[in-house]
Amino acid sequence: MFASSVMAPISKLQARLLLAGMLFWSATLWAQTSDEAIALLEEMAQAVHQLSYVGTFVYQQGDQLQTMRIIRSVSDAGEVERLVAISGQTREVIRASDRVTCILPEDSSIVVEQASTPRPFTAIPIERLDFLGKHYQIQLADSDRIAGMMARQVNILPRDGYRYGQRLWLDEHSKLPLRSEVFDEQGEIVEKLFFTSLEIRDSIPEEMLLPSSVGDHDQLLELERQLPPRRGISGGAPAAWQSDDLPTGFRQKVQRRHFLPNKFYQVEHHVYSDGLASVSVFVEQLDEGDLPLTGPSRIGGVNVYGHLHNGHLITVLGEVPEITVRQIARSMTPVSSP
Amino acid sequence: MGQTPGVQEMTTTTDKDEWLSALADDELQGRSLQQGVDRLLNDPGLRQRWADYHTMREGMHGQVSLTLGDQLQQRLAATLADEPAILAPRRAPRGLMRHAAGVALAASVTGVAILGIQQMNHSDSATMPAQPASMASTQQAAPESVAQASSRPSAQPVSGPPRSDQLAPYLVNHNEYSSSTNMHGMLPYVRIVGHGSNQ
Repeated sequence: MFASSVMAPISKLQARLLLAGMLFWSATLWAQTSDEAIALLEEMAQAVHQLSYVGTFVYQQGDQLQTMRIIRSVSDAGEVERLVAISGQTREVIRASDRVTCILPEDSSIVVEQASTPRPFTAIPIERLDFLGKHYQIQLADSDRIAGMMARQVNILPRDGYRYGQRLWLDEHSKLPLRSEVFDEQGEIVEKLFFTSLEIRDSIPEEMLLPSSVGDHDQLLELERQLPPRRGISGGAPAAWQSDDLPTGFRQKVQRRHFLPNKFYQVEHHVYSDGLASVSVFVEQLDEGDLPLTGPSRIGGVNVYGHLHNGHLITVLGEVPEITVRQIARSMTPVSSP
Repeated sequence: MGQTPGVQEMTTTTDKDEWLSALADDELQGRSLQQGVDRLLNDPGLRQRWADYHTMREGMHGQVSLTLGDQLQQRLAATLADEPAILAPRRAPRGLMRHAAGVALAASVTGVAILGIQQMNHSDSATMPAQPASMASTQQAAPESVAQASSRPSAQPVSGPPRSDQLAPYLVNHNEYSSSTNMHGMLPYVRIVGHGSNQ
C-alpha cells in the first residue's frame, strides 16, 4: 500500500508547487553558500594584512614554474613584506609602508616606487565584496589539503567575458590563501600559485626583511637619493582624460597624477575596478626618442594594452582578459574644455 | 630532458631527485609539467623534498640562515649528509653562475626595472600611428604637469621587440592601487618577481 501511494500520479498543481519549492530551496541554498563564501573572502582579506608569516610557494604561468618565498611582518613599526624568487635568477620585491623596492638583478635594475599615503594595506570593505555578486558567482566548494593544511575552496566565476575567474583554497584556520588559480572564459588556467609550506609566526626577525640580492645596501640608498623628487598624488587636479566606454561593472576608484620611476614628468593614472579585478590606465605625453609599447602584451594574469592617441601613450593593464584592457584603452579620450 | 624520468615512472629516490631537479630548473613542459605540478600538490613527501631542495639552493646562495629555524637547519644538515645528490643538483652550477652575474650587475645599478614581457603583436602601432599634427590642441587640454614634459613631437611606436624596462613601473603602481593587492596582499607582485626569472 505504501508503494502504491508513492507511485500515484500527482496533479499538475502539486507538480508546480513541488517545482516551486525546489527552486526556492535551491535559490536559498545558493544564496546562503554565496554569503558564506563572501564572508570567507573578507576573512582572507583581513588575514593577509594582519598576520606575520613565512611561506614558500610555487608560481606557474604557462610552461614557466618559479618557486618563491614570501616573508611578511606585522609589528608596532608597521608592515613589511618581502617576496623573493628562489629558483632561477635572484629577484625580489620589498614592500614597506613608504615604498616599494623591486630588485631585478638580471638586468642590473631597481625600481623604487614611493607608496601612496595612506597605503592600501587595509582589507576590502564589506560593501565592495557584496558588489562582487553582480559580476561574479561566488561559491563554496569542497575542502582539500594544501601544504599539509585543510583548505576551503572558494570559486569566483565571472558572469561575462570582461573578467577572469578564480579558484581559491583558504586555510581553514588562518584563512590565508594556500592555493589560487586564475582562469579565462574558456576555463584555461592563466596562472596558478600554491604554497608548499607556510608558517605563521608571532614576529619576524628584521634581517629576514632586508634585501639579499644587493650586496651593498649603501648603493641602494644612493640610488633612491638620485631619483627625481616625488610629488605623490596631486590632489584636486581635474582629470584630463576619461573613458567613454567602460566595460560593464567597472567604476573609477582612483584618479591621480604622479611620477613613474626614472621618468621626469607626471603621468595621469586612473584605476577602474569591478570590486575584484582592477584596471589601471596611464596616460603620458610622448617624448622624442620614446619607444612606446603599443598593442597587447601579457605578464601572467595581467594583460597590457598600449594605445597611441594624439601624441599620448595610453597604457592599460589589469588582471582581466585582453578584450577588457583593449576596450578601455581605445575608450580613453581627452576631457573637453568647458 | 630525455633522461628525466616521467612522473609516473618515478620509483627510486634518485628518480625523484632527478625529476624534482628538472621541475625546479623549469625543464619540464606541457603535460609533463602539469603532471609534475599535480603530483607536487598532492604528495606531501615530494613537497617536503621540494622545500628542502630550494632551501639548499638558498644555502648555496648564503641565505639559509635568514629563513630557517634551528630545527629545520638540523634536519637539513642531516639530509645533506645523507643525500649528496640533492646537495649538488644538476643545474646548480648554472644557478650559481646566474647568481654571481646578478650580484656583479647589481653593483653597477643605474636604471629602472627591467621586465621581460610577452609582446604578442603590434596591431595598434599599425593602425594608430602617432599624429604630430594634432598635438597642439591636445597639449592645451592636458594637465600642466604633463604638458611640461615636452613640447616636441611624439616618437614613432615600437615596431620591433619591446624594450623590457617599460612595464615594471606601471605594474608596481597598478599593484599599489589594485583591489587585488587589497585582497591578496603582496601576491600580485609574483608577476614581477616571477616573470623572466627563468630566462
